[in-house]
Parts: sequence; structure tokens; C-alpha cells
Amino acid sequence: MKYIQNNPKHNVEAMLQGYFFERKQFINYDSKYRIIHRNNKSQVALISGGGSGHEPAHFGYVGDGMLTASVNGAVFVPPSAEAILEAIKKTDAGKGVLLIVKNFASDIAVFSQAKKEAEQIGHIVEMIIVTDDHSIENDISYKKRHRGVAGTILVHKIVGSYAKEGVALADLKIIGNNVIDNLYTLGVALTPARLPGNETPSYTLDDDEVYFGVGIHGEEGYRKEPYISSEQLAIELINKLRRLNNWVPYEKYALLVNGLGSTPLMEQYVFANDLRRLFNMEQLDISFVKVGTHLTSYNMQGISLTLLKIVDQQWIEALNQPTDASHW
Amino acid sequence: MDQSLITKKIIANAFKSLMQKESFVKISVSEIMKTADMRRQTFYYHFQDKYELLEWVFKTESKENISDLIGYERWDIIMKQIFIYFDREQDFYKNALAVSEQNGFIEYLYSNLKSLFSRALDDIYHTADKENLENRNLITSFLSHGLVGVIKDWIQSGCEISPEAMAEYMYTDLLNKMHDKE
Repeated sequence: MKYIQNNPKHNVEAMLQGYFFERKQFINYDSKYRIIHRNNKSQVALISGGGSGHEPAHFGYVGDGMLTASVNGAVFVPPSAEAILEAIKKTDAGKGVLLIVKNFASDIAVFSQAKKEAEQIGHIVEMIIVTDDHSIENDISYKKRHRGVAGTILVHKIVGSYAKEGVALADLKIIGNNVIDNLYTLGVALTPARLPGNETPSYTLDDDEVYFGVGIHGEEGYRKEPYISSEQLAIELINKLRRLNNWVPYEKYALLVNGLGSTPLMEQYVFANDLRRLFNMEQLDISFVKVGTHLTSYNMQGISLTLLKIVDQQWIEALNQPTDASHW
Repeated sequence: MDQSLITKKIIANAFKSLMQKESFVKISVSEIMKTADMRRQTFYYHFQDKYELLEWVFKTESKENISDLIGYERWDIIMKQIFIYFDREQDFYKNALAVSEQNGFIEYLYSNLKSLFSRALDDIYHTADKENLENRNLITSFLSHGLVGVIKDWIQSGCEISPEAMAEYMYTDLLNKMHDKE
């Protein structure tokens, strides 16, 4: 496989330099700790991050009304606690810091460590953990996997919007957790991701197969099936989310359709149109829709569907607030 | 013209909503398509007649509510879900079961339940012993035929017992007892 790169070991560094080259009027870049951040004088700082390979997450969401900083690790490897601590120091304006972390054990370990160290030097830090992946751990326990995946972007946006309005740290944490409790994502892969330097995927798929319920780091799904059409994918994912939500007509949801890396926008919108017809049949009130490549699994061909049950109408307003983050 | 799965679903949805209040014989294709807000001709791109549509509903809904959940939820949760599904759709099924020219209900429900019970045996005994295949086929066949009959009677009696209680009887009084004897 071919990759546009020079030395895979330097890809993350080169990418961040390239991004900063594009966005330097809006953001700052700390190349030592690989932090993309913006100036913050007045509000609670929102910091997210994790392994790279999920672009444009998370640096593409650093902006007014969204994140204050993104701390970027190596591909699929979280950043160091030291780098996260540095991001906290850079962005805390005295109103405290909220860490938004995807639920992976190694991410939680470094963010918790950084939180502890920051508190020792006087910062006030809270953490929320995104758990929107509703695929399963395995077919013995059937436990929902609850990793943090594409829905994380909606958490960035809603919490970011409230933070900009001056909402206090403790309240942001409550709002964030409330959003997370109502957030559901399921994905489907047409092909697994292939990483530079590690091209053996954790599972294989035949040319005519799709895999429902895959994760963003090669986590396996719950069922392989011969591929028929976009409609087939839309029906399967909606059936599972309906099962979990037991929704009734006129309930309000926000919808995020997310390309997993190598899915053309045309295909994402074809899929979105299938969802439109199905939600119309289900008589759901889809109050907010976003389609695009937002949180990826490097170059995976596939798509994910995120639904956020709207329990507070202000969430819709928060989603609709303008932001200058480059990839919202 | 190419067929669309979602168009089929929308037609089926309109048909099911009409079946809540009218008997099958009285429902016309025109009425179904008016409810679905589609041209009458579109029906015939997807189904030959309303009998084929009825069969399609039996086939699709038993697959989506049983087989498609295997591997995603544990068998006892799926079982409970089956009763909840039929309870919710009881007006449709009561009406549908009165149509004499069909046996798709039994056929599709049976084959999907068989897959479910096969998975249940795997989960209960934690083995997929190939030597017991014949025995296993007999057990899953017995249970599936039985449960089809139970569901049919339950629907026709107006789902008097709650779906949760029905599911509970099925796995505590039948399957788990089988396991205890082992």
C-alpha cells in the first residue's frame, strides 16, 4: 500500500506542522509536546486528545466555542501525562479545566495522571469520559463496549458552546455527562484500516463483506455479512439503535454521520439519505444533522451513525452556535 | 426499475398500520400506497400482490427481531425482546393470522427461533459438540415448534400475560430446567 509520507516515525509531527501552517492566525502549536491550542483568558479550558490517526479529531475542533487544546499522541497511542499537564498549564485561565477523554484504558490512565499532577500544583481539573460506542466486548458477555468514538465530537461542541457562555466547570461536567448518557454510536467497516509500518489489520474482510460494530483501533464488530447496499447498512444500524433506545414517534434526536477515513462524501450523503427515509418512517424528530469525516480510524473504509437523544432543547442551540474550529 | 429495501419497508409500514384497524381482505393496494404516500405503480415494482407483501413482513420482521440480534444480545434478552415485539404488534398479527392463505408466519418464525435456540444451547452448555448434532437438532426443533405455537396462542388470546412474564416462563421453566437436569 502507498502512503503520502516521508518517514512514518515523523508523520504526526509533520502533520501538526502542516496544520499549523494552514491555521496559524487562529491557533498556537507547541511542537515539543505536540499541543494545538488557542489563547484562553476568560473561560473554563476544554482539553481533549488521544492517539493520532483519528483526524480531524481532535485538533480540528480547537476553536472558539469548541476545544481550547488538543494533545496529540503517536498513531493510536495516547500522549504522555506530561504533555497533557503542559496543555493544562497553557490553557487554564483560573476558571479550571475540563478534560474530555475517549473511554480507552490507556487514555484514561494518562489523563488521570495529568489531572492528579495538575491538582498538586493548584489547578482545578475535572474529567468526563465519552462512552458512546454501543458495539459489544465479545459474544460471551455481550457487554456493550462503551469506548469513546465519533459521538465525542458532539460532546466537544455542546460543552464548548456552554463553556464559551461562561458556564462554570462543575456545571460543564454535569452537562457533559448528561450528553454522554444519551449518546449512541455504531459503525460498520467495508475494509479495515491499514497503518504505515503495521499493515496487518486485526481482522480481515472478504471483498464482498461488511463488518457491523467495529471500533476505531481495529476492535472487532458483532457480525460479518455479505454486502448488499447502503440501505442494508442503514437498516441494520438503525435497528440496533432502536433496540437500545425504544424510541417512540416525535422523539427528538441529533444525528451525526461520520466517515471512518476513506469513505467519499458522496457515499456518506447516500447513506444519510437512507437514514432520512428511515427516520421519517419512524416519525422521529431529527433536529440536527451533521455529515462528514469527523473522527476516523485512519484509512478505514466505513461509516458510523451517532444518535444523541435530545433531553434538553438547549443542546440543539449549542450544536447550532457558530465556531471557528476548522473541521466542525 | 431497481428495487429499494427502504421503499419496501415504507410500504410494509403503511400496510401494517392499515392492518391495525381493517381486515386483510378489505385492504387494497391503492389504499396501502395512499397511506405510504407513493404512486400505486411503485407497489408493483416491489411486490406482486398483498399476499407477497404479507409474507415479506413475516420474513423480514422475524429476521430483524431474532436472527439479526444473535451475536449482539444474549439469547434470553432476545427472547424477551421477541415477546415485547409481538405484544406491541399484536393487532397486526391477530389480523394477519386470520388470513387463511398464508403459512409464512410459522415458517419464518420457526427458522429464526431455531437459530436462536441453537445459540442458546451453545451459551448454556458452552460447547458446540459436533457429536451431539443430531440430538441438538431435535432439541432446537422441538423448542422452536413449541414456541411458535405458544406465541400464536398468546397473540390470539390477546397477549393477556405480560411479555416479560412470558419470557420468564420460557427460560426459567423450560430452558433452565433442562439445564438443571444435566
